[in-house]
Amino acid sequence: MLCPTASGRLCPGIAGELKDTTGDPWNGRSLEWATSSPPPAFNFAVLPHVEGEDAYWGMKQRALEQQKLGDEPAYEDIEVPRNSATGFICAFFATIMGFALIWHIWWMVIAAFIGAFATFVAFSWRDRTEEIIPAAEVARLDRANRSARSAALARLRPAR
Amino acid sequence: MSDTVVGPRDPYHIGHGDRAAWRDPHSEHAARDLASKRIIVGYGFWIFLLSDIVMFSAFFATYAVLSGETAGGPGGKDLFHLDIVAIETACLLLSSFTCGIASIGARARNDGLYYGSMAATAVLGAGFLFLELREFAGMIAIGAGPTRSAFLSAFFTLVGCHGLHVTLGLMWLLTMMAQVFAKGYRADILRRVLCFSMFWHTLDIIWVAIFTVVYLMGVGTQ
Repeated sequence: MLCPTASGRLCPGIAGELKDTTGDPWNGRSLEWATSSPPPAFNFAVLPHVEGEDAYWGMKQRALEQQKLGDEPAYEDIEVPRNSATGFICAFFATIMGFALIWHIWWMVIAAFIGAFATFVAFSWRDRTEEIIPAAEVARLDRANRSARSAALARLRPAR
Repeated sequence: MSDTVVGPRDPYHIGHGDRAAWRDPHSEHAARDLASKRIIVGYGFWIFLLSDIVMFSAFFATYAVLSGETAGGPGGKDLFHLDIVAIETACLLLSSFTCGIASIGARARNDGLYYGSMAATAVLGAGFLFLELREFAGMIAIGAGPTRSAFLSAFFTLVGCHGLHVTLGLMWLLTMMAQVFAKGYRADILRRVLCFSMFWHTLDIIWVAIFTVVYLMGVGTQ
């Protein structure tokens, strides 16, 4: 069976036993494996502390030696950009414009350009462009991931 | 010492959950807080501009290789009028100056300075575009369009791409005037004014290279 995803989200057949809940299914070394999969909107609950190459590997080896994760960080509100369909709509108009340019349909070129520009102006006219994810929500999502990682610690051994 | 606040494990004050320590009012270091949004936005926009410059450098390389391939058609010496190009250059350089004045006006929240110099920038930019389009139309009228030779294909691609940037920059400029008019000198709008002025100055830098590589060297050699 072809199954291209790691998390098993698209493969309900095997999701039960092999589904990964930690975000680190392949014992990764770098920071993209240090958050859940799929990642939360804020990517990292707190800024990761980087001391050298393979920052996540170092954190993980420490956690494995002590058989517990690092202390829970102090969560804070995180500001993220609001979701927007602007990129999709601009891509739609750009596709039409590309088609019209190839076939020299000039009225369509102009119409598509105006559409893309109007989308851009509407996007830039918003008064609220960002939103706050409250610290409590950050804590809830990160604690769920941390408990999955805590459970996984027992299965892994330090690489020494 | 600052190390007693953050600890030796955090030499760059990136912080890790102890953000309160960064904002220590008694800190000796100015870099105690995260960089401001204005700095981050400006930096990110510079990275975009550098990618734009990479694209232009590819067009410059193409032009440099093909500038002699006239296929028996007219070359730069026959086509370029340096007096017109000098006026175009003056328009663009002056518009960069007025654009700089406009950023000062926006920061000072001075309506007259901001709108006045933005309008002057727009007029100078439009003057540049008018002269450039007239030059293109004149070349196409005498059969020296982009399909005539590899040299002219490369010329219209490089110079036309810059002209397209100026056109889009003009539309952005008018949008920024309308935004300040509708919403005032808000922090996020001032950041966009900053990005716009960086964009406009970059177009100027690229034009200086075009003026040298395409026009001066085109008239001087062959």
